[in-house]
Amino acid sequence: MEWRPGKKTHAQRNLFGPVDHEQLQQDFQHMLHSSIEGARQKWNFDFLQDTPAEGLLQWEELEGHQVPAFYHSCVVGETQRPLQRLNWPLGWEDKIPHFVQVTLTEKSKSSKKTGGKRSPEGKKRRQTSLTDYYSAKKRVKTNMQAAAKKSAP
Amino acid sequence: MELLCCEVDPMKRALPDSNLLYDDRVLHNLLTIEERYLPQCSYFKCVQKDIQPFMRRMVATWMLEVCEEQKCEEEVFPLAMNYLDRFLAVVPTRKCHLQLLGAVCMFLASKLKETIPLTAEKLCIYTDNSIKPQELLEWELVVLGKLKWNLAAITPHDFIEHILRKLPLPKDKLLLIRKHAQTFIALCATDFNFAMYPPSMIATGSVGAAICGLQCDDGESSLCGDSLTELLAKITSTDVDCLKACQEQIEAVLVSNLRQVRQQQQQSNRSKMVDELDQASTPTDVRDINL
Repeated sequence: MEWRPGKKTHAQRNLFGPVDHEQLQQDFQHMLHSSIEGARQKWNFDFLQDTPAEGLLQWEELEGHQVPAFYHSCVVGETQRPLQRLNWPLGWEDKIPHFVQVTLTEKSKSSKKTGGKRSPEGKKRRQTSLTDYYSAKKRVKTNMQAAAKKSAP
Repeated sequence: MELLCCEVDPMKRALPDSNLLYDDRVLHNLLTIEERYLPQCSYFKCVQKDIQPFMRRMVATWMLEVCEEQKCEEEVFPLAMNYLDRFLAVVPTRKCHLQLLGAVCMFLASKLKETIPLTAEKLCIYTDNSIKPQELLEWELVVLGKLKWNLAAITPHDFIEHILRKLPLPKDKLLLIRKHAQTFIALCATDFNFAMYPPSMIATGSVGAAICGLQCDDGESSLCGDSLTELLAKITSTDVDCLKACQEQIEAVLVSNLRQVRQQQQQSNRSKMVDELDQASTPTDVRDINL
């Protein structure tokens, strides 16, 4: 992993000519926004405003200490966060200075469709709810099944 | 396994884990999940407008050179190519952004697989500073999103040890066979024809090609030809004819790659097959020496 400064190797080369940095930035912003929009629709949660949106899932706010330690925010190593500004372009850091813990539960309507195996009150654990959500979504939106499958890894 | 310990390698390595290697459930699970990480389509036909197959080869060759020069772990390059192909299968990309994408994919693969990963700054220098570290970090996010954060893709390397331990191979040749198989895997990753093949097939074909290539030399034919192919096919539950075709394709890639190297070399070649293989195993190095 050594690096000898000053010595230009054959591998050090530009393959396809000059890069249009403005275009690159535009494409990046476009893709970032569309992915945030995709996430908003998938989870009916507005990640920019950090508020739930209308949809299948019902979001319930929890105190930080109520969730497993794994979800607690922590900083490892340097505190440098060069991408924060780009991650949350609409002034995320001004509005929400602290880490907000949320968990999600299903609306009773969809849990009935999964057979009502568990009561919605008992779903405080994030993983369980998510798994149930997937099976519920499959049943509720049968017409979207093919599309969902296609987008799965 | 003692041989591995004797290698001069500054990197501290864990010993091979017999619990992982001698348990068939591991191989079985690898075979079950490998298809999840294949690119969704042959993207030159259906997604990309600006990018041509020869450009993928260009960026792949460059990536391999960078990985070799930086002495990356063997898996880094094929894994980075897997990310690149999966991204290109879903996102129409401009030609002038392709090298940036290649750098991002190496960045991610290196972070996943290496104890001392490649830095953004170093990768930008390798693009001749045509991109900035900040851009690399931004696009890292985009690529991660499009890959749905599924980075732990199965690569052909994951199968190598599982295959090798099931073959009756002479101990003294094992190291060389492994090295040649790894080289074949890297060659396959540079060639788009292999992008949609399951990693187990590439691994099996590469091991087959390595064994045949090495044994042809000393006239020992017990493990060559059809019996070897059948044995290999059984190990990874591959169709014999598919595997045979795959191995032939791998050998053809080697031949065309050798031809390329020769053209660039403009030198007289040694005639022995082993020598040819050795040259092919470091095609970019040979090129570097010349240039």
